[in-house]
Amino acid sequence: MARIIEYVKIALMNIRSNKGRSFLTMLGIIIGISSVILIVSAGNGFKVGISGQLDELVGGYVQFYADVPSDEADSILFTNDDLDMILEKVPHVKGATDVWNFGSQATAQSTKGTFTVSMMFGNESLLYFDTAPIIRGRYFNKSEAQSAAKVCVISERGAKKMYGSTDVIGMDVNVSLWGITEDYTIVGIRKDNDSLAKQMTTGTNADVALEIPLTTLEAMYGYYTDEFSSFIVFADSSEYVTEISKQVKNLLEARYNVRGKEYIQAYDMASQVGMISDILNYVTIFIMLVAGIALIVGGIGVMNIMLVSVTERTKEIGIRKALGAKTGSILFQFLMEAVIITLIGGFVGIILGVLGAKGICGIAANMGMSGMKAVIDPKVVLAATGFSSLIGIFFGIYPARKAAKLSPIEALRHE
Amino acid sequence: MGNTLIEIRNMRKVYNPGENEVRALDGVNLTICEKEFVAIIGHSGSGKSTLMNMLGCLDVPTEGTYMLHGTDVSDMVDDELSDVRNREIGFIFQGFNLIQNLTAVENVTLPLIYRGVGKKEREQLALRALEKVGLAHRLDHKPAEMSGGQQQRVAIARAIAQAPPIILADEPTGNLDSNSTKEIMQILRELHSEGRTVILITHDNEIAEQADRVIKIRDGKIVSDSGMRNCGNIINEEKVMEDADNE
Repeated sequence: MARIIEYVKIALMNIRSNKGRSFLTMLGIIIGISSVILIVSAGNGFKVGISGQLDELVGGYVQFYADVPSDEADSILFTNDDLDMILEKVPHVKGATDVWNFGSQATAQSTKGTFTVSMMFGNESLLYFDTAPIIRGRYFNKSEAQSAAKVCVISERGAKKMYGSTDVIGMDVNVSLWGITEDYTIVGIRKDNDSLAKQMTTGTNADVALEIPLTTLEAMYGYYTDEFSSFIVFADSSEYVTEISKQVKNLLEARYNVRGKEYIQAYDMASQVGMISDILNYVTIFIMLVAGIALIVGGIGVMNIMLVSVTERTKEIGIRKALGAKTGSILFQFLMEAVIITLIGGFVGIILGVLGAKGICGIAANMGMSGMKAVIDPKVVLAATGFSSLIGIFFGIYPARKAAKLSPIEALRHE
Repeated sequence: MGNTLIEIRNMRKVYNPGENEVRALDGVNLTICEKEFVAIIGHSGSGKSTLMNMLGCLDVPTEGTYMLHGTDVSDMVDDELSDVRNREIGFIFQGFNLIQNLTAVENVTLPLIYRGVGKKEREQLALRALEKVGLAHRLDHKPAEMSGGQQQRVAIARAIAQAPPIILADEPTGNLDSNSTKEIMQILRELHSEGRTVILITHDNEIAEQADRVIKIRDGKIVSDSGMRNCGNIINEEKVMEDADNE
């Protein structure tokens, strides 16, 4: 034990007396270990963050659509009666609607200029399509939704852009779509949802977002909205999504007499989340492979430096052997040095990796990916440490053996 | 004198066996008793360095036997030789051979580390050895911060710290000025008078004359031996050779 402490001391002394070189040697290990930790921790953070976000945003709804091969049967078109039936018969459903979305196709005029407008049409359940709250006024109600009322809910940012304030309830927005210009009375303001997931699902960057009753789309622009091939059902909570999918499918299959045929499909975001996780896993594995190569290159660097060190210290080895050092002592001394270099490198790598992962997730969180937080897995840290000491031992053995096998006379003669 | 310490019989060391072989040692017989002060003198190439390597267990002979303290060391393996060196021999080299990035006291403790002596005892022994060579005030100096004479005294302290029976000094004054030479020789004489066996290897007659016994070596053979002694009751069979070399 006393000897081991002695060898550790010798190794530390040699590392210290060659600071610059030792640092460069460690660099390979530092890069390898820190990238492993960073990738895994940040990757897990992204996974948790994205799942959380998607869930918060859309986890509570299921989209249903008819998918009938044209050579088998006529396509199925759903009606508002279907939606009423679902609301009535399926528990934990808080709303259902057909949704039409026109991103950035319309423009709106105000005294401040002309703005691009995205328009989304649905019934009063469209309220649940976004988790962002109504901050002023109210959402359009059922009677407005059924009577083609010319009302709208405007995005907070849009209100500020067009009118410079959110004090706009009761005002008319002048919107042009396909050459038809119409005024819509503002009944409410919805907070903007800046999350990346929201950007991904609606894919619009219009100045102003408006939500308008679907019947109005038919009345104003001649769209036929009584029948539709897809619709969305909102659940009280995302935990009911699977059950709702099953029950709604059963109901509809009975109603349209297509039981046993996969004509009616349900699509929920939970499966999307799983897919994104899978992709992230592949990326993580790939980058870990690259980091592993970096670690091996780092290990070869350690071996190289140890070989130089053995040559430089041939005389010292001779002296030690003359004084009674055995092959094992010299071997252990040099091995220890290699292991300590890689362990210090590994330690620095872990710190950098953890800080880097926290930094990246912090930046991502600031950029709108709320809920993003680095997940530091102790198992990964332990594995990285173990791997780096293994590298030290593996690449340290050859130079250490070379040192240990030197003949004392020749080593003493070496200048 | 005391008992036989070193007994070498028909020792040969041949380098490059074959056509260009070099017989560095060519049938050496040598007996050294405990508490002797022996100088081995010879020119460069005479084989004295090879003999010193053999005596110091740094190398093994091609032929012949070497009994050290009653043990045959002539065909030991590396690690066994390391042990013997550590236990039996204190080396003093011409070039001091201190480890440059260790302090005086750390250098002196080295052989004790390999002996497995505990830290406290190690430091005490090292301190005592350094006191003995008059360097108690230089404990934490590194070799580069000391004069040649001081460095050699650290090397002596290292050689005697664990009290080995044999002090093997290879041209200990070869790199030193005359004052330091006197100091070092004085210390070696003291060590001898305290009862240690001192073997001095040199090419310098003046240095050699300070020993009790002078052995001359040439072309790998011992050509003269000034003072053969009886070791206890063992009778020495060697004949004193005529001094063929009168330099």
